[in-house]
Amino acid sequence: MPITVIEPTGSGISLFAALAEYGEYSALLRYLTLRDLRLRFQSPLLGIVWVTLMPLLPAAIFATIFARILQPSTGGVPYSLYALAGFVPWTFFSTSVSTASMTFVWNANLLNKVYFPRAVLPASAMLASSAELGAGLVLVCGYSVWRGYPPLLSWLWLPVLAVYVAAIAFLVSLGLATANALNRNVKFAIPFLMQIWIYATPVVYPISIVPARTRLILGFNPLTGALDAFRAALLGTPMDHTLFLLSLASTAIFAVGSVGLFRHFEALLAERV
Amino acid sequence: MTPAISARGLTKRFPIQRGNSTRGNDTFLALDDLHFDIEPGQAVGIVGSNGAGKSTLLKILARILPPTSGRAVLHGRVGSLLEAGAGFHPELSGKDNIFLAGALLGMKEGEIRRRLDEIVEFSGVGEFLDSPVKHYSSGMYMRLAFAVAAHIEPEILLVDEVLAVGDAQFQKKCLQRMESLSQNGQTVVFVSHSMQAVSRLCQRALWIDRGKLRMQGPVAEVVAGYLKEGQANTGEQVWPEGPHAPGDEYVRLRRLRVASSDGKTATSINIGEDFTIEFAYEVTIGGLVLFPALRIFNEWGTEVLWTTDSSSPEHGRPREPGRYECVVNFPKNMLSEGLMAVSVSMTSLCPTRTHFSEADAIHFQAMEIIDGTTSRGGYTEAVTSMLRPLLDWSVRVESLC
Repeated sequence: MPITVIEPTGSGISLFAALAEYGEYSALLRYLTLRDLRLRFQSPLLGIVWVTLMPLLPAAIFATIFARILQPSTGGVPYSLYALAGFVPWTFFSTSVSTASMTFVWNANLLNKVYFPRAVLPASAMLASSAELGAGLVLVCGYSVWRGYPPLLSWLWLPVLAVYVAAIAFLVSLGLATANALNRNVKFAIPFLMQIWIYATPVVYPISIVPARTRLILGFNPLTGALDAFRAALLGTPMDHTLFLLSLASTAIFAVGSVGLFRHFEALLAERV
Repeated sequence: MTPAISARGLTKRFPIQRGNSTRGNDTFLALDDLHFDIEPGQAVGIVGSNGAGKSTLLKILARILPPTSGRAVLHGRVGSLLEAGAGFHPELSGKDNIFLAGALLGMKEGEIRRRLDEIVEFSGVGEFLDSPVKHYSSGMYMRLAFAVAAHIEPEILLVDEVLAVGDAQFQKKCLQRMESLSQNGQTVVFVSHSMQAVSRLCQRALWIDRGKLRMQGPVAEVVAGYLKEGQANTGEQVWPEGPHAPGDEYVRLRRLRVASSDGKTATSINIGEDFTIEFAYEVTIGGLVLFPALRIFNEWGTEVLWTTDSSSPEHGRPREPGRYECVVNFPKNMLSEGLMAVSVSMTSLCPTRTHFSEADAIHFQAMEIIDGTTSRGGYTEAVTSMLRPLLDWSVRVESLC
């Protein structure tokens, strides 16, 4: 028979026991994700058009304007393909963080009426956004073939890297969602954060135009190495291993910070939100 | 035996919010050092007036809020039902919502699938199962919500006043369901304003008074103690002169009371005797045709009756400025037992304007003394009808064997 001990915050359960509880609630995670998907794709055709346009539109704009003015060197890769390969993971990251970081605030009533392991909310929002990432992968692979870059064996890494980007998105969302519940001003900062973040990530420009020292600083942005690896896997270009290791290290730092913040305030979410 | 729930020194302080900040050390002590044990298989009611801390206690036991200090240990799977329909999404179909709400309450997918037919049957939504719940009537919505919750089978079930909604027939069904849960050996903790529901469902009760555990014990003793204190009932309310009384520039409410047959203000009346409800109002701008009305609600929130001054010569005539006293006589053998809430309102027509409408302004307990003079005669089992008229039966013995 399960035993529940209720104590003041700070004497919480171990991380292992907490994770085991998420296993118990896997059905909830699945239904919440399905709910979000069902609501988003209520008219499936429009949903698909929308999901395709999201990375396509900014990539097209940058390809027509940015490429003409600055003529960034992409090592011979057509700039439109280069930009799309950046916007597919980026658009997913930015939309999923923007929605998932609001989930505690949007579900305040639910938090106050039902007990469930709280991280299910941002996790399900992130999972629902993954539909966009999946569609984006198909889109960018298709475009790549069309532009004369046939499928490579390294494409098998693309889904793995997509999962990695999703994991970064979840970790960032978990911390932001907690901060958002504690202080409502955070939600106003998120759009700014995303605007700065896109330029701190080699989405529209190649990392090679960045001076070596700045490159290391940008490397602490976990998306930098992730996007670099994503492009390398897609186009068969060489990959910067230092950047990827830096990305893994900074993801680990994000994980500790985000999960730590969340676990510290988890029990108080209902009354603070 | 290990208690299903044991609480030691449970205390909860809330910061008092000033504007938007929580600065300063002002706190409100919502629960103050609660100690109690609840044995497995018991149904325990939590009673107390509004704001006493009942719901806070339930939320702590449900792990929605953490205590500030103290500790509680629960043995067994815990299910809580603090709001029927939590997690329901209006755009989703009834069926999708069953799965979502079931998972929220901690049910596994297989469990929900197994019980789906039962849940659908209990809710009675039948053919509407695949339409979005936004098209449901509010009654259907509540029935579906409770149906899901009623089919979780945890060892410990925490229930807040979810029964205060829905029609009388459905409420009865909900109570029966909870009764059967506790008979199956589940521990039920039930917060309710309805003394009748608590008495019927629970063996024991906790009385919480301003955050403190005032009394615990067999349900009859605790409920009697609580009712005697009169916190549940206010038989009279008087409003001060001036603009703070309910009303507007035309007319204001001054006083409202319920009186037993001896003319005294009462918090409980005997349904086998006449009683009156009296109220006074003051007209400040004359010329309007006013319709004063009284409504009586039973503890399920069902409107038992509505009455206006149609039998008085003042009815339908413009009121001159001045003070008016109404005495409404209620004959014996009309109401059923239970806690009654009285609402009073004042309306004028053309254009329709509500000058005041005081919901639940006073309460009284309608009680029955079983002495053979009421409609039940010598019958002693529970009678759940809303009205209890003493009707004329003529019985002719056709033949005897």
